[in-house]
Amino acid sequence: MLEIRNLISGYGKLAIIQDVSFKVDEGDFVALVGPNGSGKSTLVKSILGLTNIFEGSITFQGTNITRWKPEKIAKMKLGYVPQLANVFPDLTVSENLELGGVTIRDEDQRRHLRDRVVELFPILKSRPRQRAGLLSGGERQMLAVGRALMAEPRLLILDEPTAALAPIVAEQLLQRLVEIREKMNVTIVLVEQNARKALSLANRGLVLVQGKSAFQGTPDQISQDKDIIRLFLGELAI
Amino acid sequence: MLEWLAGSILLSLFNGSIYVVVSLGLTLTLAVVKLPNFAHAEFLTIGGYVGVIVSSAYPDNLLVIGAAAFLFCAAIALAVHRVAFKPLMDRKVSIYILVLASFAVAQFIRYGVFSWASVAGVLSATQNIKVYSLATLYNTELTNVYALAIVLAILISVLLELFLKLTTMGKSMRAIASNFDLARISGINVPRVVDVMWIIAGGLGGLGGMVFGIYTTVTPVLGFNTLLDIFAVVIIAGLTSFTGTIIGGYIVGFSQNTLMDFLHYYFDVSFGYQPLLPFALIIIILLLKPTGLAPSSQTGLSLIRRFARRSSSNPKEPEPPKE
Repeated sequence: MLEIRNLISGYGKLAIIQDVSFKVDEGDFVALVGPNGSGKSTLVKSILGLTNIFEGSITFQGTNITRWKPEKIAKMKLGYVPQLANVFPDLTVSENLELGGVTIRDEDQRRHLRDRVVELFPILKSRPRQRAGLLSGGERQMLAVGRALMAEPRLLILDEPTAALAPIVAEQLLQRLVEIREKMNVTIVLVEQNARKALSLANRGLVLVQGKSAFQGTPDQISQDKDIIRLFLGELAI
Repeated sequence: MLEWLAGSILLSLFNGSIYVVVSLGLTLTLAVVKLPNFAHAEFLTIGGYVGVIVSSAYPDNLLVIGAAAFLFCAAIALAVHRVAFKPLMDRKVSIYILVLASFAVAQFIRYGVFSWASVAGVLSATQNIKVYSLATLYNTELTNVYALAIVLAILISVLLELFLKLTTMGKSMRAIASNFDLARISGINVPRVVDVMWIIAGGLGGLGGMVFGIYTTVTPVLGFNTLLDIFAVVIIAGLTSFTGTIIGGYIVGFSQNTLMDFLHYYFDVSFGYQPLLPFALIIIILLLKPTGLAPSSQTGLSLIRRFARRSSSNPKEPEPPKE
């Protein structure tokens, strides 16, 4: 579904991602983990066309999307929930969802998607006219995920959606991601600081260190690599 | 006293209405592309001259003259965006470069108009539109131009509000104003929305200039002379608030006329201080409320809802609960 080959990318002239290659297959739940500053967010931003790509290629569903503009990539059914600023704060909940589905032309399909999103996150149904900027952190993340789902993505990339959330709210949100993958058949790439939690949900993992791919494999394989555990993930017990 | 007060209030309403129509375009530019466009006032000049040319062929036909001023200035604004601003924005230059570019565009347009007006012999021109009295109040005549400006300001404010609140294009504009990168990755056609924004901004500038040109003599510096007043309006408005722009337009209009008259008749202040008053008000307003008159990008309907909520039993808007 998504294939990254020998990617070198970054901001301005500075290369942050150094020769990273990895594949995501249809139906995967991939955990992208690594220490702070390892380039996790830069890697997903590169997929979305938000960084400068110096070398390598990104292929999504057989189409080479390297150096495409974000607007064009959004129409490829590739959803993204940024870590920060992931809703339109001055717009209402309802308007956020509507604009999330702006690439869907069919009105019935948009209504159907909206029903599924509010079924998944009932809190969004109860306050359609609330300004997004006035929602709590957890509600805002739910809206951000709901907004991304309105475009009916085949692949959903989430950049640390549980950052700064209370543990119970983070747990609820992660459980929703599992439901999204199972019920809506959406492939998921989850960037997460909490490596233990992310790998417990995922079927594959990628450990990124200093912009390079340090390890790839199943969560079991990662948990058996003593160097990775010791150096980057801490005491991991999956 | 009532004579000067009625005349002064009417002139304040007229000036304020012109400021509202022209400044709403500048507010849109500031909100959507974050550009303090110093070339915006030149649309007012061009609108005034379009009024001069078209009114010579269609005298008194306000609809045709207004539509021509709107469309011509919309086309100029779109061209300026495509030729000057968009290439710079695509290169992600700093806001300082963009502001300098807008100064350069303003100079280019102004001297272009100067050259043309000099050759055409219209360095000082009037529009062929009859001004007549609709009613008299305390010896003050309510002319058709005053009524046109006031009705136009109300109509445009309402239409812009409905456009921004109810249409997908308007919501997309607010989304770009609210979070540019998210708008791009959400699949909003940002270049198209920005094009439409320039069309509206330029068109409103031209329309305001055309109406102002009925009241006053059209010269190549018609817009330049109002530049600081227009910026005074948007600064009072907090730069990106549409409701604030409407309020700011009338504050500047009233400060230049009614407040000036009051100071003159009661405190013997010279009319020479008239241009200073809006800026004195800016300082006072910004000292009291540094963000201007209204929160960013809030439109009239949301403010009305807030007032309604405040007057109901639950007086406070809910604060975001802490996680």
